[in-house]
Amino acid sequence: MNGNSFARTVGHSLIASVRSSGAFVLFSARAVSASLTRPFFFGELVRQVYAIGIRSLPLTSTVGFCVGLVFAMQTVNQMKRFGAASYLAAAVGLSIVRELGPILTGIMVAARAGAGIGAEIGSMKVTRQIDALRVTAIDPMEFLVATRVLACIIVLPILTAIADVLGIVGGWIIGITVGNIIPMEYLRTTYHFIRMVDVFPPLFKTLFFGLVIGLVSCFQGFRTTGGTEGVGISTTLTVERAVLAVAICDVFLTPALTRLIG
Amino acid sequence: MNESMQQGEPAIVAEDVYKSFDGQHVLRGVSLTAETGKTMVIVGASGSGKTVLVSMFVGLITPDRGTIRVLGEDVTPFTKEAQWNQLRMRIGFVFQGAALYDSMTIGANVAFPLRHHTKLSSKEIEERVVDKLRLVGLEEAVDKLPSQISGGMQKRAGLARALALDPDLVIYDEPTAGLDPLRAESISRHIRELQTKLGNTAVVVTHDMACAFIVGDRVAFLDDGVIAEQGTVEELARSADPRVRKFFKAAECLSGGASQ
Repeated sequence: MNGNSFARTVGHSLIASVRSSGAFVLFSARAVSASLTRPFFFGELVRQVYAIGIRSLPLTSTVGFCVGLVFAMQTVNQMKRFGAASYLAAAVGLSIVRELGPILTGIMVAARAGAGIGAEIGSMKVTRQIDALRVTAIDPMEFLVATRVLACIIVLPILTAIADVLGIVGGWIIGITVGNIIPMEYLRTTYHFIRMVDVFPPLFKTLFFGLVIGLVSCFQGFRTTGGTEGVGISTTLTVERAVLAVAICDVFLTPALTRLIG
Repeated sequence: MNESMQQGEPAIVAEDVYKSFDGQHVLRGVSLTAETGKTMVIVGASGSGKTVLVSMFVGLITPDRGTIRVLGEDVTPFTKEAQWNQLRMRIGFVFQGAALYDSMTIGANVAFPLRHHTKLSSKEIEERVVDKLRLVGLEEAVDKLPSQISGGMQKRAGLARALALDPDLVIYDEPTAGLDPLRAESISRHIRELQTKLGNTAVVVTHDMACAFIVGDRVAFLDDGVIAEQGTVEELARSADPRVRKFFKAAECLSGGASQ
């Protein structure tokens, strides 16, 4: 590749990225506006809360529990060595509610629901079901996008809270079996060390995770072209970009919320 | 019929419409009139721009140039979905691949526009759905998913959905594409019967001349982005235009070959 064609390739990629980012910003603005204005498709919202929330629950809960369990396993022996086994509850609890619970739940929902939304909207696009909505005088932004984005925003904090509790239960099991901590003592320490300020800002952060997962997944679905191959490519891209969006969101929101709330 | 439409005014008037995609000219000055209460068939080879043209009548594609009036309204200045939506409720669009919502049953597909645009009770909607499905001979498929019925049945279900709101204008995009000749003929007869029974305007896009003969009051031949000729089916069959003659001859050969 000579210098000229290299520059041309880089230039084309840059222009495509800027175009795509601009399209995403416009899409997001329309989606937010559609979420806040009538008509509301309540039935479809409930269906999406079920599809995204209830169906993700077994996965997010199991992973939350396992992470609590494994994190406690890794930590308990170190703490025992320093005679600080009783602080295991604080270490596990704080790590889970402040970071592990929210980010893992965000990533899991981004992967699971992102793939579902991207594939569903993508196949609706290539089979002209989205055009069918439009000619039936139903705005796809209101019917498809607003409902899915709102559903993601609603379910993320709930799934995170459940994953947090199960993660603490996982740590508790290791604490009382391997760490020989009195069961009630473990719970008292957890209660003592974890303050509201440790719980709510991370849960608040997951609202944004829900927003970006919903927006990125719907956007990718709407950009699907071609046939079944296009749907496959689009689904892969959706998962990749939704997970990335959650991670980037986390990097910026965590310090911002810490500064704001402490 | 809407007040904005004058007595005797054509359902669709397209004048000098142009459209290109990425520098490729698809329509190069199409002018077309579809009379109210009649069936206008737009025939032409695959890729001649037929679907692009009818997509403009419902706002799925915007023309680069030219004016379009649909059901008495000048839609040329429409830029927002909301502007189209009032008009779209008076138009039924039957997609080439049916475009049924695959997560819903056939009944739910037909009920969908009724649930969102009417104040009918659930019982009334149910009755209307059965009526529309009966019109296309599909009442037994009400609880089936689109994936559980054949391609021909899907087309008829798409037609029932398009008729749900009793539209003044029904647009059919390649209604017989992908069907065997018997089913294609059956669908064409359905379209003709429905148009006669309901008295609405129909615009049918097809490359199937047998379908055009059955359903069409008037036929427009679209070639290379322009309407090469329009008239009754018989007039077009006698056309001196070499492009029209070539197309008709190819269609005759196909149907002759098929019948042998």
